[in-house]
Amino acid sequence: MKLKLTWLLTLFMAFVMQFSFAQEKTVTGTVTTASDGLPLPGTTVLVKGTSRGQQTDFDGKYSIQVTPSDVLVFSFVGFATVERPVGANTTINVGMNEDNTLDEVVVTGFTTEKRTTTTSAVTTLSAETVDSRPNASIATALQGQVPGLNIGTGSGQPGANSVILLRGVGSINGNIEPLFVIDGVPVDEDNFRSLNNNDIANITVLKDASASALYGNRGANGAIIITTKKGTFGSDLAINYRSQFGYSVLPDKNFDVMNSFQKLTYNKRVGSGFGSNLTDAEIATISRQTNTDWEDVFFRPGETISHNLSLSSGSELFSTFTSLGYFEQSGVTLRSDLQRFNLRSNVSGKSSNNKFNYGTNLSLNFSENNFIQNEGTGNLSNPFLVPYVALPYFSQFNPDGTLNTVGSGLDTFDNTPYTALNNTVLNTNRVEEIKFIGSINADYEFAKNLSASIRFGLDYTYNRGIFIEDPTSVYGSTAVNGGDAEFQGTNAENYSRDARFNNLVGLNYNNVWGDHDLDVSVFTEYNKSYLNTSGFTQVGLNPKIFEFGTSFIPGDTFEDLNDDGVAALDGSEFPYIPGISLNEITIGIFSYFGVLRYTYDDKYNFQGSVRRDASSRFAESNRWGTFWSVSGSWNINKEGFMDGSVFNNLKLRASYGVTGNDRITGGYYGSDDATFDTYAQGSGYNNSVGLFANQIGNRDLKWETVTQTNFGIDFGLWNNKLNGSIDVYNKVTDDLFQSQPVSALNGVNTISANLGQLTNKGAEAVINYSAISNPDGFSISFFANGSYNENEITELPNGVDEVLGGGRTNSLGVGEKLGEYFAVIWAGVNPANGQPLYRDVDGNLTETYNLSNRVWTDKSVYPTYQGGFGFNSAFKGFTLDTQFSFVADIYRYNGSLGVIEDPGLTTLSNGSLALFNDQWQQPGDVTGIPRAGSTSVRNLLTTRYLEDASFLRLRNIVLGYNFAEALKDANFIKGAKVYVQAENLITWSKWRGWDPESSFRNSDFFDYPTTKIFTLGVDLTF
Amino acid sequence: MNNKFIVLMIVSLFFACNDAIEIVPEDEFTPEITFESVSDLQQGLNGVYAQYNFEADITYNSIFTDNVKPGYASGGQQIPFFNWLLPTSSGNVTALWNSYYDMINAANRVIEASVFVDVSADEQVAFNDILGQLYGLRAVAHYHLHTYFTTDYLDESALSAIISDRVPVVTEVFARNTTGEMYDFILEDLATASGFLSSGFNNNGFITEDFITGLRARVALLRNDASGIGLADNLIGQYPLANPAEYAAMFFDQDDTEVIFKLFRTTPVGGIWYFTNSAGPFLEASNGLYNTLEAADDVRLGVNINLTNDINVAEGGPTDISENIILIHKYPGNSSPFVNNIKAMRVSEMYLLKAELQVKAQNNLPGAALTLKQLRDARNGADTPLATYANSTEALADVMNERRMELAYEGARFLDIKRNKSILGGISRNPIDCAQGGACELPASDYRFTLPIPQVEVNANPSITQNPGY
Repeated sequence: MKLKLTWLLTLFMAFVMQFSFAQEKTVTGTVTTASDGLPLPGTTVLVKGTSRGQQTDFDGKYSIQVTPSDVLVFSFVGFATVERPVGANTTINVGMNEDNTLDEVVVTGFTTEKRTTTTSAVTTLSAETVDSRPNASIATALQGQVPGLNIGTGSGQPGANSVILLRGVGSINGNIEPLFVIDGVPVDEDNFRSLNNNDIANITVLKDASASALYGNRGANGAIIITTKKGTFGSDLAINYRSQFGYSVLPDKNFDVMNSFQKLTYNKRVGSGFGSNLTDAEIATISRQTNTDWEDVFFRPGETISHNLSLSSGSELFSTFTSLGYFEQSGVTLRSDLQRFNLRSNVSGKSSNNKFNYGTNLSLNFSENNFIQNEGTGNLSNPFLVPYVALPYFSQFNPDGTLNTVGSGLDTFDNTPYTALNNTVLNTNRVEEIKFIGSINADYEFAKNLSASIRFGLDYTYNRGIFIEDPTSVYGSTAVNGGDAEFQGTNAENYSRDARFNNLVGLNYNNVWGDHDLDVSVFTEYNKSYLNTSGFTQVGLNPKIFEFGTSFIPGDTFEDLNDDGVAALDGSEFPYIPGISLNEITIGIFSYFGVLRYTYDDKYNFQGSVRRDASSRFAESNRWGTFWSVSGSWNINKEGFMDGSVFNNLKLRASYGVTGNDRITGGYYGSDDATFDTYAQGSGYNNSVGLFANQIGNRDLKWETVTQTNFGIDFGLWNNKLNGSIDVYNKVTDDLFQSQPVSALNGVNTISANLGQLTNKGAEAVINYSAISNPDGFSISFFANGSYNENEITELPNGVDEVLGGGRTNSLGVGEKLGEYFAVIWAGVNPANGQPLYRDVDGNLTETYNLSNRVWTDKSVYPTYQGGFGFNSAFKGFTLDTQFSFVADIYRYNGSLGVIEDPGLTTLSNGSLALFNDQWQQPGDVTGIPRAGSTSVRNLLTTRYLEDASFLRLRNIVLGYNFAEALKDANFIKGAKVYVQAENLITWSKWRGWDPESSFRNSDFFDYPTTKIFTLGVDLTF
Repeated sequence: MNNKFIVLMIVSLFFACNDAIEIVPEDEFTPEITFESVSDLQQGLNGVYAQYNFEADITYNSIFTDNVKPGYASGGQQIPFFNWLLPTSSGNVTALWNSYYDMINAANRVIEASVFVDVSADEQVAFNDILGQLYGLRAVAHYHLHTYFTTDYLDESALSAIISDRVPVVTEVFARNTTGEMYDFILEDLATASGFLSSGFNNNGFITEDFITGLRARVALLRNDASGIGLADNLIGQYPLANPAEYAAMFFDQDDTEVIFKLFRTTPVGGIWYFTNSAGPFLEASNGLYNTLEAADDVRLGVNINLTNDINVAEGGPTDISENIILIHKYPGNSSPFVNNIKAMRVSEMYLLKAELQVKAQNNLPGAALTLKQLRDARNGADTPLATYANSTEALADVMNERRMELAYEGARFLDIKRNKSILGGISRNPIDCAQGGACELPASDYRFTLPIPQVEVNANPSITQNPGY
């Protein structure tokens, strides 16, 4: 692959040179913001009186062919337009001043609107905040960048999904993640591993009801609108090549296990397990000979390689953007990796009278993901279990010096490292994915002030999952009939095809007269999605070519397992019969809606929207939901009394509205038939076919609704040198989809119903400050954002105060938080006898664990505080940028640590160093570790391992150098930049594990931590 | 241009709306099409049998008592339950409650649907046999629930479980019935079942007339009702006791001499105590049971404990007494490891039931001794001495000791202790079995001999009467 790319690049180089020599005079330069001296990417540079021109690159650089008599026009929304005659100059650098008219646009949905007249709570991010980050998933890079937007990544697997929360968690069982829209196409919010970050132009986060009312049927949790890069009309060909190379490593683990000497000594002390009968001298000898650090065997530095090539150009009526991407990242443990190829073509065109516009956005992506097995479980094949429990006095090597991948060959606890290694090396767990996102759009102004528009989009994902157990592996060798059959091994594949169509048709009326500006649109929207899954499982493979279908042992092969000469009647002597599956789900939504915007005198802005949505998930009577919003804003800085004030921008906003959520069980394809009673055919008694009651339908199911009130203020002082915004909100979810307990006499314990209420209240702030701004010297600007969110359950089913669950966080209480731990308070160890101590409900100490002593802890899996801060600085050609992120008041149960402190497991596995150092041994010992032989506590619902998972993390730091000066006379390279960057370089946290971050899960159990990534990058523009 | 665009728009509008929102689950069995014929009813019945989760009984009766201890491969599985931690959310309690009510609900659905099925003359016998089995299954499910959840077998006004004789409306909640009502209901269902079953229907893998007789005897035992002796004798007359070779073969599914009712199984029963992939035991036979079996030293020692010398790892084994490894062998597997049919009613149980009633209902101690001797002779394959008892307590203790050996790991031990705890005391473990964790004694007065109404039921029905102590 690498070879091919090199070849491809060489070809491009040759291609580029030819273009470059075709012109006479080239003017280059850098466009910066005058206030802080930072580059201003995306500035349009036009030759006055022509349509020739281009946009500045990410470093604000441009290069354009001109004659000395030309005049260059520099324009950028929100900045005053600058004109410069060319004359004899070959370099023209421009510092742009913010323009008080502030015509920056905001993409709020199906349309765009001007920043000054928007009435909504919106945050916009530009490309550079995400596009050069070495994260395989776009979502990961958003962490800490938007107030109120929580990104929780629970796995270090390259491309792993993140859980995304906007303004708290808004549903108990329904979907809690915001809607993602790429170039107008709603896409799967859980799958970004195949998409190319480099293509992103900007990201808009819509938070309140007025913005997301446009997506009312799916916008209950807000919406994240991603726009990809496009070519510019009338611009020359620009070629950009970017590459990164780097390593990733595990973060510091923040816990310790025993080494050989400690473990054997410990076993001797407690009198159980290997070592209990050894002399001190024998222990010393063994621990000198073997003291394996199993991390050395399983973990490795991961590698990141990326190449991205993009071409953009435009004629008068046509523009294109084309990109080609390659990304490869291996995880920090064996076998884990991601490799992907991306191709994008964005095309725009228009009629010469500007009345007809059209465009297509196509992206084709292929990725191959290799996964570890049983991530986040106690299954012995999980490599992240190994450093916790593997015994250090076992050797990783065979006597002949080769790596031992068998051990005892048994699937037993003490054989964990060998089983895990065996499985990792020999078996396969892979997903190949083809992802296509495409849309076409067109609009036509068919009469004065009236235009019609259409957009059709498709998000298509095809997955092939491959799961193979080598017949010779520990697992594979017992795959058929517990190992008691001639052929062994498993080869299973599953396929899923997910196609989501979206079609939008609209009519728009827009008129400006006098001080009035009116814009009215009506739309209909059609959504339909199809999921087809199928798969097979073959057990019994010829070991020579077990990866292929030709190795499958025929299903009618008879094995005389009990040597009685006849086939058993129950079919168990035909062990190679393959398993097959097939399923199909269809989901649809139909909507019509209207939006009205009105602005008076550029000061007073109003927006109203109303929509009707019908979802196929609900029975006819409850199918339609009505959602609406009203919002307004006041540009105070434009009032006469503000003349001469330091405020160049001061705007007050307010919005109120209702949005809906039909994904009441969370998954995109969930609850598709929850309103129907169904039976199912299954394996009945004695190998017969049986019919079973499968589901009791609830015809009353309906939309969950979210009612949100938002007040906000936007401000800019001293020509935006200091700017920011503050928002407060109250978000109430009603008709929560929940389990309603029913008597077991129904054959089930719960049915699903719309019951209860949940409230999120919070505040958010963003502030940016350009402290020093000197385009020729030192510039620095600071930014910070933060949010506070208070979650509270305000009503439960049947009017009860509490619904108690048997888990850590599935109890619900009115006045409590969602995801709050309900547990027995751990009170340490009784110094008198070394037994665990708890608090009863009255706070008294007791040695008896009883579930009735559980109390609300006020500690939740969801954070109260979240945010980020950092600075961007530049000096001459150097840049140094940092971004910190933090979450606070977030808790999680440390189940992994519980295992290594479990006194019941010490004979089977290694344990925490705390057992060796701190375990209670004699009356009077004051310690937190109960005596050897005491009962296991970790699986009880106590607060013992409930830890503060707050963290502050240096999320990203980049040191770059820009070769602008050195290249100013170069005639084909227009820009070059090199940089080194580190992700997750430093983390401050009390969490005892590798990684305090998670996907808001309630317990850690040998999870794959997110990693530190170091990369070296280069960015060239031709 | 103009017109083309408008046409395109209008067309796209039309292909929308109902196509997107009228989606019916064509791929599902809706109630309208599920039960239309006698063969559909048979499939429904197959589903009811499939929900007969006798493994829940075996789990409860072996682990909560003195018949197992933590195994060498324990990773903590079932240990809190072994140590008698019994919250209302206990998975083992919930499993019993849920699986028997699931089974009852399934039976009620098929019974109610049967009314609407057209039955031709040549289908009538098959149709009646289906109904007979459904009523029999509904009765036995109620019987199981009653045994665990009632506070008192003999007090007819004590609370039992809930009687469910129809498919409820989903939001309905129910109060608990009394023990007396429960006995009446079970016997009434058994009479209905008996009326439907044809005389030729005698496959012991299904509900037959003989099983119904045996279940009536079990109900009589709970009530100290001497009529159970006659019922037991009826079956004793029909089914011989297995000789030692037949007995050993029976647990490899190769002999049915004394099997009145068995449940076919295709998944490992031994998974109750073993990791079935690796055959590592997280629970082993208790030293208490082993010592008892070893003292008796008959065919039951090798049937219950894996003493085979061939190291067939896949079936768990072998036992290594020197390391105190004692492995359960009642479900060694037939063609697949740990997969065996469950012998849910054997004629030996009828001997034990008869002996117990002879002691408790008739105070006929010599008679009980003679009944036990018949069983012991069969198990030894030789003549055994006739016991003499000084009093009924001694006789009952001997019956219980015999039951422990004969019905080990067959879902009886906990209920046997519960039934006779007022005379013989509660659970007392061999000190070696409870060395870790220290839970050795559960006195007769302990509330945990009656199971809690599970939390899942209380959630739906907060006013239901909970059993004392929870």
